[in-house]
Amino acid sequence: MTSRTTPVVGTRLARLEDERLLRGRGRFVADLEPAHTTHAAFVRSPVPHGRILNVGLDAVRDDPRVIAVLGHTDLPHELTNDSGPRQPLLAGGEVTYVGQPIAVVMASNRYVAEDLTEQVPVDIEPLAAVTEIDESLQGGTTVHAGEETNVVLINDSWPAQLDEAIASAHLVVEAEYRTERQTAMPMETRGVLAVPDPNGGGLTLHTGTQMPHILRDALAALLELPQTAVRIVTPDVGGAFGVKLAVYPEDLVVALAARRLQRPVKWICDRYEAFTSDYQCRGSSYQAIAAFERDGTWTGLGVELTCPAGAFFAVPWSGALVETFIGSTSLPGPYRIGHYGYRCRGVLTNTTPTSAYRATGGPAATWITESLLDRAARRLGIDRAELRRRNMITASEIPFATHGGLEIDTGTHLEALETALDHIGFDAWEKRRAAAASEGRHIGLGIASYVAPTAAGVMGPDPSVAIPFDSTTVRIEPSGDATILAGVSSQGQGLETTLAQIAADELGVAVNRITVRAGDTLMCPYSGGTHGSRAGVLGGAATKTAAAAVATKMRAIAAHLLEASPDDIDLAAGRATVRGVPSAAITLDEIAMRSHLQAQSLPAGMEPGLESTNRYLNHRYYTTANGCHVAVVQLFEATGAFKVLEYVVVQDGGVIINPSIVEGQVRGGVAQGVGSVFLEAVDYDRQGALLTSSLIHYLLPREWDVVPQMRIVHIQSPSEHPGGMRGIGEAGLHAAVAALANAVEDATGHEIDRVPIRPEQIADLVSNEGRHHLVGEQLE
Amino acid sequence: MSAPVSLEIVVNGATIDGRVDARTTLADFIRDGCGLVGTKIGCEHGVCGSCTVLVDDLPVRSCLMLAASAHGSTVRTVESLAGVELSDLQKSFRDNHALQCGFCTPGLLMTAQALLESLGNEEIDVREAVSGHICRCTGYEPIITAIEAAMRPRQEPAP
Repeated sequence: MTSRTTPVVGTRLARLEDERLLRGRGRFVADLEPAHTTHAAFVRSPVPHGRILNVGLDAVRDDPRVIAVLGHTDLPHELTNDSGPRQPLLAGGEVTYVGQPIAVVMASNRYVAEDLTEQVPVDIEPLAAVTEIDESLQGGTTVHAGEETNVVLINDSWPAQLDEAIASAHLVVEAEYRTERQTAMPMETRGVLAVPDPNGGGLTLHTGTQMPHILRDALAALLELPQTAVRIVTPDVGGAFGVKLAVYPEDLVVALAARRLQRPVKWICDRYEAFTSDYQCRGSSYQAIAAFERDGTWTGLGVELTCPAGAFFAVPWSGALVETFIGSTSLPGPYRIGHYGYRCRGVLTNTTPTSAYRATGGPAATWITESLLDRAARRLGIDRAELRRRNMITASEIPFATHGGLEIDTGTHLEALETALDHIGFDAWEKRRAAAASEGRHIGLGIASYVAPTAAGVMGPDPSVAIPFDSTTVRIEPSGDATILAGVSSQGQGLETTLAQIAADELGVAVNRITVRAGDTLMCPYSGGTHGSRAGVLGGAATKTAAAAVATKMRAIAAHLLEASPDDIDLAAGRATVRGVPSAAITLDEIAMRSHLQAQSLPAGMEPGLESTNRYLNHRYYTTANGCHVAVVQLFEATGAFKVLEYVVVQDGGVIINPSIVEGQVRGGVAQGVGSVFLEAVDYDRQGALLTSSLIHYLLPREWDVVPQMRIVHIQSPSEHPGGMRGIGEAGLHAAVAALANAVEDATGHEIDRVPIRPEQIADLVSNEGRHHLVGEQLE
Repeated sequence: MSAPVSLEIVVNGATIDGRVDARTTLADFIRDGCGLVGTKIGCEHGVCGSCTVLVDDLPVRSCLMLAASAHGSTVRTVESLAGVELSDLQKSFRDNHALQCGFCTPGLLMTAQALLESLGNEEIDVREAVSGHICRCTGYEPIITAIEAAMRPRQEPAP
């Protein structure tokens, strides 16, 4: 392979999308404004639960500024939820959360539309609301009047051997962990522009969805249109992190309104609306029990997971489903655990529905596992790193089937742990902490080893789970330029760059000859979307496969023209060359030209053109990515402030397409971990009123909260998939909560059972009065 | 309803004579009135910084300023930064992987631009200078690095 140029995969190629974004030429949904666009604003429920007595749409119907006003009787459609009550697009008889859409007003601009919504009188008789999961689980008050239960999900797997392991254990550690509700809060809010299409009577919906095809299918079903009559286009998308996965009532209302009016209808969620209407996440409780032998052998783990669905079971995935499913899958981590069991409950509450948020279920799972290990280590008098080593899966045990259903095919868990500990200087840690303590500084170190389920594959007969494959078309135009039509689309991950890198190596062309288009159901092949660390793995594999198919055809054409064997043709630097005969070459541009414009010169019987659409199916349950994070934090008694002093990430995400992009994903994920552990909580009062309705109240990580010099070390164990990727989009957050929360536990000497940890708690925990040592031989 | 107001603003070098509702924000005027949609509206309550533009060379959250209040002012938006080539600041963002989704980027670029233009020889804490911006994607470090890199040639004459 002497004529091969250096591969582009693995290099820090500058992103291809940056030029337009830096010039202010990115085009997001809010930037699109076709002629005659009408602007929608929603009338929303001000109460968490109530009976609607009257919605006075007539009060504005005759206002000359109103283009249309629609309520439940105009649009009586419902979403098809997998569990729990059906969800009306616009509430009819009952409202069940603050922010639930009741009516929509269309006017010539957003200012006027909002004015008009305020003039719609809404008369609601308040009903008792349930906002806490414990209260919901107990029953009594139901989230929806007339329903018998709030429980919408039960999933148990608790072997009798687990109870036996607990009964016969040397040490049993029990704990309850809680996560507060969060919201993903991308900087671009949700938004929809629906444009009727006179051809076929359908419409085009421009929106930042993470799953264009899934939304198309849902919309077509609701509108009773053929799937071919509905087109979803995602322009530039300003972050998503899971919140743009769901099929939202607003998407469908805007689509229905546009069809009814036969003119474009646009709705851009404002930030206040985002707090009430964006599907939320987390807010779960976990009752955990772990059993150990005297030598530290981990013999049993059982966890009861209770997660909120909010007022409705979100379509397609409720937080109650995905938090418990991915949580119970992730809990065993990289450990050999004798017996494992879980009991999952999903419950309704009179709050905004829940859905996915980056690494859904994983952050809490890793925190629980890693916290239990720390607590067991203290009680057993075994060093916490040593306890992990004793129970960690080794390279010789691969492939290893976990009790969580994962098949782990990497043996790099110990390597990741040891590397991370080395980088942080773990051997000298106790000395360092003691020195800090003598100066009155409270520092702590937290360890988090993890296994993240990525790129969900074939999960069995359940139709409600993810699409297990993805698709890409690679097309060489007559000029030799390549168009890639990717199923997976970007919300900022840089897929235009990484997919071009993959294709460039296969095709032997420069990246600047490749244009990646994505996020258009009319152009792009069927896709499961971008979520769950799947786009790089499955979209990348499909891209590699499709580019390889085109490359094979180019080799055959070159071989024919150069009178050589296709096996002897190298594609590199825009040329097809006979290996060992540099003078025997033809440009790829000429191959492209001939395959379209001089088809008579192709090998006999060969179909003209250079194009291939390929689909790559992950036939396994999940792929896995793994690694270890170690955090060092300092806590301040006077202010309750925190500071992340050091942070090390060692991760095995398989083959890296672009290290800068991977590291960006890791940094962003860890920053969201800082938010999860110290800052972010959606607060409702006991009556169900939302207290965090602006970015002043809901604190996102800021410049001073993050880690100045994060060290990121890559291990690259190729996966079995073409390209060898394992999925890195979520790994940062998957482990960060555990590393940071454990560091606080280490710094305070108090068991940390709930995140976020607020400044007043930090101040209290590290104060002289509050500080005491954790139970355990090591610290006594 | 609000009464229309006449205003004259120089936006990216072009004089705009217009009439707007008195309540129109500068952000909406720039986007809808001038067609310069590079300026992004992130929160409309002055916290996220995405809508930052330069008004008479100072960074301003255009969601918190009325267009009418900018009468007689000179406004610069992200569209003003590049010529045929990206500016050094923009290149530094690209080279340091300082953006992912790119939604907060135009506002950050304008704050950074004002910082670069006002540089003397004093020590500048870039982290502090851009602390009025929220980025949900990057974890901020590449942004700080990119701005520091763009500042360096201006602060230190080449040896």
